[in-house]
Amino acid sequence: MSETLPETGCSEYQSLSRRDVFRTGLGVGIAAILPSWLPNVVMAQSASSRDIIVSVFLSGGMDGMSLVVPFGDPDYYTGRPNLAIARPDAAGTGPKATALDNFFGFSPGMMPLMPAYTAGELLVAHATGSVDPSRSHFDAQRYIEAGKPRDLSIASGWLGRHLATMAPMKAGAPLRAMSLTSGLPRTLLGAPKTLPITSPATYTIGGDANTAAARAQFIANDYATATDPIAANALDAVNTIALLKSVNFTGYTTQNGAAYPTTAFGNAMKSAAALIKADVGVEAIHAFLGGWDTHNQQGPIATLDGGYMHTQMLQLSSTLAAFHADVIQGTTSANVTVVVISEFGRNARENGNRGTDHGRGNVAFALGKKINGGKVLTNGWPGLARENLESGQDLRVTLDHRDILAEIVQNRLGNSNLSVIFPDYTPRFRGVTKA
Amino acid sequence: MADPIVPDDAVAAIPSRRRFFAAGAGAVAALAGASSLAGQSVGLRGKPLPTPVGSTVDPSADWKDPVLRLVRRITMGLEPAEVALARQLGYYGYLEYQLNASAIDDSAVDSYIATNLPMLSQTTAQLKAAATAANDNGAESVSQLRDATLYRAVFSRRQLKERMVEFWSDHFNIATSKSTYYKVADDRDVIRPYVLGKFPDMVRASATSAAMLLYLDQNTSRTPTPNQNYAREIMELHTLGVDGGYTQDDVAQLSRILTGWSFDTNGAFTFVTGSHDRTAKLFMGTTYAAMAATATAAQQRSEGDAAITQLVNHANTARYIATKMARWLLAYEPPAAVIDATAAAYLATGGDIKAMIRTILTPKNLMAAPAKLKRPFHFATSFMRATATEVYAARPPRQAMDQMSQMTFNWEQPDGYPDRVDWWSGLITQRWSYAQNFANANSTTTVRVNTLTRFRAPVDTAEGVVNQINLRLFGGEAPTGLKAALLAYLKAGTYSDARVRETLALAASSNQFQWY
Repeated sequence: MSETLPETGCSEYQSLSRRDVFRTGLGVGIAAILPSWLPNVVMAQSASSRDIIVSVFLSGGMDGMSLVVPFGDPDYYTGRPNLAIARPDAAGTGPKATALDNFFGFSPGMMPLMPAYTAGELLVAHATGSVDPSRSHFDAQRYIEAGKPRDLSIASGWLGRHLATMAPMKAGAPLRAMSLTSGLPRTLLGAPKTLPITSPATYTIGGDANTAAARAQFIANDYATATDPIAANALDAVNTIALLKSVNFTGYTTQNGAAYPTTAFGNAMKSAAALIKADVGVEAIHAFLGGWDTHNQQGPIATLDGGYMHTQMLQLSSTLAAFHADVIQGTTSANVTVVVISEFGRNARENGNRGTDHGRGNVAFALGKKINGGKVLTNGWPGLARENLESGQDLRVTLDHRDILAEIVQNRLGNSNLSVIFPDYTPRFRGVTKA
Repeated sequence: MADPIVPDDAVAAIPSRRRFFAAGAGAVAALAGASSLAGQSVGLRGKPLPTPVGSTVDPSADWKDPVLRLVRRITMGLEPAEVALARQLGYYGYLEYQLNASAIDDSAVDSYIATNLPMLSQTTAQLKAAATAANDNGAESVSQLRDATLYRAVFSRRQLKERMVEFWSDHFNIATSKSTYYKVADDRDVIRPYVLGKFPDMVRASATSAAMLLYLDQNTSRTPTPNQNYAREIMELHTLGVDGGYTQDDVAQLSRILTGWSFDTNGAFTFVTGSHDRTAKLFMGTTYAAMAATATAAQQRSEGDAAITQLVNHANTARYIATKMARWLLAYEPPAAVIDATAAAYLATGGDIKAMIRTILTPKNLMAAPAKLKRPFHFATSFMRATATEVYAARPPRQAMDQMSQMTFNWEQPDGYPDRVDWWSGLITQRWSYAQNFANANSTTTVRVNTLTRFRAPVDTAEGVVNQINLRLFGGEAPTGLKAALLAYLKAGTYSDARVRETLALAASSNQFQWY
């Protein structure tokens, strides 16, 4: 394990009281069940300046070195003879990186996000990730979503525990969090009043309008005696059907000329925007963009291998750029912070298929008015020379992703129960948020 | 640093612990001491509900009949004729009948598919030619595969086989977004022949399947920079399991051993000597000696076969497969003794799947097992079976099923669709919507739920309908409260076919119908 990432919480974990929090923290009504003798868990109260959070997971292991190019490291070019993006000062008119500082630059596919970066509202973090060396998609994603590596006894997610230890942003909100995914991701497990909703615009039971209320009543009564989580899900669902009917998704008009790509991810983020603007009390939204497992013919520029990765990056950056213009710079009742992470990065060196295999250190993003953006944050660039690579192949992780998330949770979401949200970890704040 | 994972014995010492994670928020009920919400009004117009707290009563509480429990577990849903057959054969008789799937006449389904979904019998070369001609990248053949998968699950008499097709299709998951029409051949030639056979045979078939090699980038892996994708997943997901005792170096070594495993333009397996790494390897403690340039293709390929033999013979593979099968067939948290016995059966029989199923599905184990939540696919098949849905076109009912977020062969990552309550339970509105729409299906060209013959007969009254719902959807074991609520709903309006269909939709939407 990296020396720059000390893990100091193991003995603390042995305390039974702490474990009880996670055992019971999965459910609704946590205020009623948190033991009163647990002094470090204080139900956080709604702060007027609290942000809404949008969490984006890039599944498959996004190749951060294609998104944010370490052009200042010559070994990047040695290890990736076919895939590297040329330096900003490279000769010729071919595609090249655009400098973010004197070491890192955006790929052509990331350029739609440059306005957010120059506005100081997009923070780029590099060589970040989990302290756990797993290169399994599923373990790595689980540990990141759980907010603690290697502990399979933690089923809930960091964002779920944030919501469970926080009073609702809007009293009585029927839905506090939503995942625009085809199932509930671990990140949100444990959150009260939270549902996965693939298409908020068509969230309805259907059938005869004259009997709709009676049928909904039947269902609510029936599930009242079900086991949880399905009982809670069902009752939240009945209320959410009514709630979402009041939100105009199909006629939603963006601000500042923002245009979301008409992809699933673009549509999801547009729905998120509509929901946030409707001000119905949804305070956390999770979205996902897959397709990053680029073992083969990666194509980080448009002219290589069909430009697959280039197209992926464009989809990500155009969607986030639209969200930035529409929501971050638009009119909302609360500030909005976006975090973007992936389970791991990819090998420093390309493989024989002009792709990259599972790696370690990666890029993460935070976006928001109160994000200390316009810079590339690292805890030291570990370097891509072979002797500096983890297992001889991967960019090391020098910045624990929890440092980024924890600072946002405390400073932007107003929740200081960090020992519950990121168990057995003492995060170091690194100037991710503005004062 | 100390291992932070709580050891199993410590977990066992906290009796409620597993339940907290298995059932999620349900565990809160006991601590909070709150009562059920039955009878409280619903905030339909934005009026928030009080904090919901569920029951601790397992949905299986009313399931007294072991034979019915077996039918729930090894079929795609209760159906009167199947239940009658099971009762006639008895618990063990019915299990053996379903295990011996090839002896069950399934000609009606085979004939339907041969006539209506003909691409399923095409060779990969034909599928490729059709994709080229239609310029659809194989979309139509994949659609036919999806149609056939649902159709078979509903109508095949080899019901346990279909349950295992679903299981193994997730285990050896392949997304058609990448593998396109190759998956049609994989389903036919790799998955279906082995789902009740020997596990090692299925691993070997999968390792030479064009769809799998393409999906996990093995077909283009070559020395000196091999692609590690398949080498990792065959260990992590297909055999040993993520904690199965291999290292990152073993991943690299196996990727070198497997260089050259590819397929030709017709989708047939081929070994590409020019791609193979002939230098020495050390894989999980076994040395593979360097080979001369003169080594034949068969010799060079044989190290891959030997490495796969290492994997399928490994005790950790036995345990991993035993655990996963017990989760599928028995319970989310199967008893340790069941896993031990099933892993032992694997090792004693060379991975015989039938022997493992017999070990898992004893009446004693099954009577002690809590209910499992149907996934959307299973929910759809059980609805169609219970209602004796008449299918005149295979695609519309399949597309209706797709709306519940479990389109077959569409899970992008190689771990397959989750089999966890917490993943699916929030997608409940989609099920209610499906039931509401499907209960109204009344077309003799696409899909029909024939209420007149299936529910309004033999007795065309409210009581008669609820009785049929109880028999067809719940095997006669519907909870008393549910039967009363359905009857009350049916009687609250004018008795009509529309009201009957609404009541049927509500029965299928009920909590009880979501479990098996």
